[in-house]
Amino acid sequence: MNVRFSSHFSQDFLELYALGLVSVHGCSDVEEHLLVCPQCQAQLEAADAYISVVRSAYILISARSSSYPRMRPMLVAESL
Amino acid sequence: MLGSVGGIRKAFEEADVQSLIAQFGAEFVRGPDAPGLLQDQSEESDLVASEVDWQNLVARIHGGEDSGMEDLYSLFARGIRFYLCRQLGPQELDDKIHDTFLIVVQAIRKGDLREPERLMGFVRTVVRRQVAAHIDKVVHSRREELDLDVGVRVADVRRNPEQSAAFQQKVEFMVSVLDGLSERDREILSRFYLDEQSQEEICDEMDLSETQFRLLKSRAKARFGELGKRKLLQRPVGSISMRTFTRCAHY
Repeated sequence: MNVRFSSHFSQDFLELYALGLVSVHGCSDVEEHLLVCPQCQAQLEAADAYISVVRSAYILISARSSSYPRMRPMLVAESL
Repeated sequence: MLGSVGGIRKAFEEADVQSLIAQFGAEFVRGPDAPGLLQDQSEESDLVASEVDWQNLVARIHGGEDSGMEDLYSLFARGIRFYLCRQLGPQELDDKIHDTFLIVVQAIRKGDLREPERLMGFVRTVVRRQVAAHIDKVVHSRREELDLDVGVRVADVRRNPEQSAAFQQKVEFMVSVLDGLSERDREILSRFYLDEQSQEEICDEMDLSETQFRLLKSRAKARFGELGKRKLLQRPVGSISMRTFTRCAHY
């Protein structure tokens, strides 16, 4: 059984939640909603994946442009 | 299901609760080998949140009715799995879900939940405590084993080779997207996604309007999506994998 809601959290808000930028009060609201809302779970999962990719891309860029080539394997490994 | 009332009230000992959880858990709680964290549940019926009769549900659980247990699992199993997996990774997930339900059910049976309409908040509190307790346990055991107290990472970050390849490809797409941006725009995104600065801070420090900030973020996302689609279309059909990006490895 799925529970449907008449309204959902926006993608922007879920991205902020994924980054830990939501207030304690906001967290309780979104987490209660997430417990029973598959639609927002999917959106948050997508936000998590996107953030992970963006972070890894920045690490890769910084590793590629690094003047310390020996650091690179470590940074790339971290990005995986 | 959720609206049904009836059945004979009976007192449940802990053993009864355990066996009921095991019975319903087998049906609703999926193992770590399940294809994805979020399953297609289109065959299941939907219920509008405002129509859930929390009082009735809590009363049935309190009274030891099987239908109450079943509905509790049906409503929360997926969300609890999602939350625990996101916070702690997939290891021993079923045990943690089982423990969470056990705590919730026992508390309801003991009459600890005085406001049934706060059931969602109560479940959230229990899940958060489970996460905190697990992290605490991991930190302590690692301190004891390795005498380390920093850099503890609790969530399981392992991906299989196929998932790693897919992830790496996405990272390359994102590198292309970022390469196409000006240095200033790259810095704006970096402040948000890496440094976790708030939108207000970034806009203030970099003299940006909220609209400019949102546009930059959404354009980068759209470009990333375009590159992904284009790359997927270029691939020969035979090379398209049946499995996609892992749904549990967020980090």
